[in-house]
Amino acid sequence: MDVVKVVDLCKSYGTGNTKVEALKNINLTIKNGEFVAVVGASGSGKSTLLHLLGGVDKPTSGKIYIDGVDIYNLSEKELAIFRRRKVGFIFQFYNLVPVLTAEENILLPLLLDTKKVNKEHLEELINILGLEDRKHHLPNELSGGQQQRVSIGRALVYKPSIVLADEPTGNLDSKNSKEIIDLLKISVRKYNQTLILITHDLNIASQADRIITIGDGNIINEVINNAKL
Amino acid sequence: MQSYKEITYRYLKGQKNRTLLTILGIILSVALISAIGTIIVSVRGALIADAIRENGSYHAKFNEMNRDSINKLMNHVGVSEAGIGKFEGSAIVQETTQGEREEYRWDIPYRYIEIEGLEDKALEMLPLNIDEGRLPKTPDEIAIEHWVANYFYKEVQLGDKIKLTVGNRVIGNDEETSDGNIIRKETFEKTGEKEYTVVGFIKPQYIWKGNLVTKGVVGLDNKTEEGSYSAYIKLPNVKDAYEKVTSIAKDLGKTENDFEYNYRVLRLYAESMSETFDKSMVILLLFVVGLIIVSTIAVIYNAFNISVLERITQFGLLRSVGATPRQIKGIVLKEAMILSIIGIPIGLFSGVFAMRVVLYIINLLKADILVFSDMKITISEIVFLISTVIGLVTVFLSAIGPAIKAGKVSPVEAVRNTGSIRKEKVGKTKNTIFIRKILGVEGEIAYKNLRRNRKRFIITVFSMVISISLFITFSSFSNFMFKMGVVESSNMGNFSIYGDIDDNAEKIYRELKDIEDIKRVYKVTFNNGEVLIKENRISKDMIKMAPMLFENKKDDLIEINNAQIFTIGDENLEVLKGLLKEGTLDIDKLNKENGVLVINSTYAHNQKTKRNSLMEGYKLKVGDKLPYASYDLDKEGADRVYKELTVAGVLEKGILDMEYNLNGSINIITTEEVLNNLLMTNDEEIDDSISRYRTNMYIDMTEDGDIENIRSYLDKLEERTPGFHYIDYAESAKENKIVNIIVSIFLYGFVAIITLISSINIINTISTNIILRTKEIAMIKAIGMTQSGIKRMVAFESLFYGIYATIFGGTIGTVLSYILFNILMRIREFQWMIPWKNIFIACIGAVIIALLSGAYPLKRINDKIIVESIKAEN
Repeated sequence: MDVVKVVDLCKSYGTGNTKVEALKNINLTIKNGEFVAVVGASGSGKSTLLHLLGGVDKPTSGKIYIDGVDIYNLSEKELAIFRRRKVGFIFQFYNLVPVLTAEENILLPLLLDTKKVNKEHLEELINILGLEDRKHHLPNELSGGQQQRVSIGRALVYKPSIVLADEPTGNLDSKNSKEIIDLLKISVRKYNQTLILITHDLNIASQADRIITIGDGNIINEVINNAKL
Repeated sequence: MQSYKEITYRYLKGQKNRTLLTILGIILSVALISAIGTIIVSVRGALIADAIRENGSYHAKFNEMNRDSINKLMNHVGVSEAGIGKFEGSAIVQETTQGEREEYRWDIPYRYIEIEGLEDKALEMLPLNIDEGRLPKTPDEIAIEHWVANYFYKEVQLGDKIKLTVGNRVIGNDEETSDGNIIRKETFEKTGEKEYTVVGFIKPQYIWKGNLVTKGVVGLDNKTEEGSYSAYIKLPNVKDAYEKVTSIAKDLGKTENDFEYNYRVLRLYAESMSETFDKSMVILLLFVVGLIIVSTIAVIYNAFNISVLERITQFGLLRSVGATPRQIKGIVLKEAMILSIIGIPIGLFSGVFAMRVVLYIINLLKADILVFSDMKITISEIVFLISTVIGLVTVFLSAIGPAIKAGKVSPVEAVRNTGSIRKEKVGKTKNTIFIRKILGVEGEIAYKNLRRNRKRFIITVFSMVISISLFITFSSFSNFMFKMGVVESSNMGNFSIYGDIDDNAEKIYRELKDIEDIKRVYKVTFNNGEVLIKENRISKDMIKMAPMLFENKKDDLIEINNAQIFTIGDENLEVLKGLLKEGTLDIDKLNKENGVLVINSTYAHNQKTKRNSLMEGYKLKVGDKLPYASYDLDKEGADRVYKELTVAGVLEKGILDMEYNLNGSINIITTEEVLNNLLMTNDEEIDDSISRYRTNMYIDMTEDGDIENIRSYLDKLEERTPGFHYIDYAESAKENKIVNIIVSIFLYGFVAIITLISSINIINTISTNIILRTKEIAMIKAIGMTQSGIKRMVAFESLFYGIYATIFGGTIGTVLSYILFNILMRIREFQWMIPWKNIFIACIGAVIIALLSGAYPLKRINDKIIVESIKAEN
């Protein structure tokens, strides 16, 4: 099943002389449960693609289907709910609401839906993330690695179809980085989610099922990673 | 860029909105201060001009000088201007009647005009205003007060020649008559006759028929050497006027019995500001200016604080590149300086301009209200100087705090780039699941955002608290002004008729009602007496204040003296509709149950402060029984006989001059029938011929009524009806109404500006709270909060701030209002009440403004694409 289908996607900024074409006619499909790494030079359009997939940006032209739904045909409210339930987003910086504790930050998507919290699932998630001791702490009391783990927890709590991660380990040391990626892989496999992750780190990229290289707004290479086991 | 300091200009331009808002705050407060100062200076000028208009512009007057002394005086080096006058004698107008003499208690044989010859110079310096015609130039020309023209045997017109019998009034000693009155016998000694041409009519300051001696002016006969002259002089400089005039007198060999000062004018010139205005008013002024300064500091401090917060990363950057803390501080202070240079001059002139506009409007309303038509808005250098200094000091005090904070930013801030997590220390909040259940997670986040940072919370609530308190204080100030009677809110009608008219009252009443220029005639009869009231219907405060009024009891009711009971004409009861607090005005009902309308508020004399204060002294209710005994039915040796009245209605106050009882007692209004019944008696011993009522009438003209019509009718009536007199209020009634409007303009204009300043504060603070969290809000949207969810979250925040601010602001505002009340109490006493209505308006207003302040920046965030907000640099 194609969980993600991108058709002729274009994104440009500005007009006339200052026009920048961040993405040019991207076509892409991703299957359910795939781990896709997106690599490329700075400014190549990787983040732009991710943002468009997550519904936080608007394409200039083209279509994106998530789970068969044309997401840019949705109303603003439907799109918000889509973001809440179908997508888990992990940014590079500034992930957390400063006034909520770690646990509350993780629960945020559920709270927005006023859904009852499945205590078991939450405990499990917190344990996997190694945050039992820190769950009542505020973000400014957590280290960088812990903050990122909280954001992963938030991204996963709703068990969304897709997890989008924009250089999640960009700010972390190698030990933390490894842990984060391992966590992602574990939970994605457990809940059968699709993971699309941007990274500069080839080590990390080599752990993905598929590596897509973006350059100058185009997909310039796609590698199916058979070396991975 | 030549110097790093130029960064200042770029910053200011970049933050255009905030810059403009801050400048606006400076302009408003400086304008307010300079407006107040300008008004004070101008009012003083107007008071002086007014005194000159009433008393003349001369500084001193020398009496009974001979020709020689006059010449010496005019050539004296200490005298800058001199005008000569000569008393020519008293001229007969008409014989007074016995009735007039008794009425005015003046045993004077004739109505006189006291003629003074004045030369041009003197005419200039004297307060003579010409109604018609002109001032006399020669000794055979005369100008008299216009109403006196009617008293000659034939009414005198302009241009007429009149032959006057001139002589001296011989005033005898005071004598005591048999019934204990003091009269002064006066006779007339004729010296001759003279013919004059009437060239002008003088406008007197007020018209009162009882003015039996009036002024007349003729040209000066300069040629005679003899006679005693008077001289009006002006000094070149008013400073030390008293000493200078005394020394001039000495030079002329005169003593202080030979001259008099124009006291009122000299005193006004000589007084310093604090002498012209009562000490309490000075305190009041300082209090008011103090509050303005506080509110301005709040606005500007906030503005700078916020602008520094927004640029912490920037300052960190500058530091990492090598700027010292001092240089950073300098940038912020320079910003303050630039804003001052722009804002203060505009503020100064705005203040003066605003006053000019207000005065122009006032003059449009009616140009001949004398005090205001004299008032010229003067630009006083002192006012400008003081306002500028206050403005600069205020801005500096506001900016120094944030400037120091900016200087303390460490270079690491720039490099760290962990967003605003580190910008402020976030505090934890206790369990808020309760809020989440009721208001959803949006409400919970909103509440937590409130408490996230103590400092931010305090600053925001502080701004709103200041705004709310100031509004409450100043709007209750306006209310106090009205209550104090600074603004005359009582209306006496256009004319009042009084005197011994009881026998003709009915006839006069009917005739008046027929005149179509008359809208309403109040036929007021009144009576004084004693009432009996239960103790629990009397305010405890009043009993405490004036215990001697409530000492006597009858059975278990308290005897209250000096109650006054009035009728106003049954068909006029309807005008009381707006004043009726409870009960009815139904005439039939009143007649049936001996019903009356009572006024519970009264002027009670406070023994301690020796002032009268208006308070709700009584608590009578509809249905209460009120025994009343008229003093006119008192019999020597017999007990007072009470007749029972029933309270049918309670009025907020009365009308005309019976608004409130002036002696701590009750004013009562009722129908003619009830009053009649009250005063009826079968007792033959009580003298029927002594009228037990006294009747006055008050006339309300129609809007476009012809006042001359009414005046001429009343004049004719006065001629044929002995004992009939009237007072012409038309002019003063008009003035009162307009003074009302004017004072309202000032007071409410003031409140409006304070409100504006406060609103700017709230807008600034709240909108920044949101702008600073652009990224955070965008991120929450990215996770899946809908736009309406975001709006709710932000709205809840404003609401929560509003609730906190209401509690603190309402309390502080009420306390300030009480302090203000205490200051004003020294000027005139009145009762204090918690200003609920003002508190309500202030709090609701603040919340609404807070909500709206959040709406605009929120809209901008909502409209943007999420990711742009996340990436944005602020």
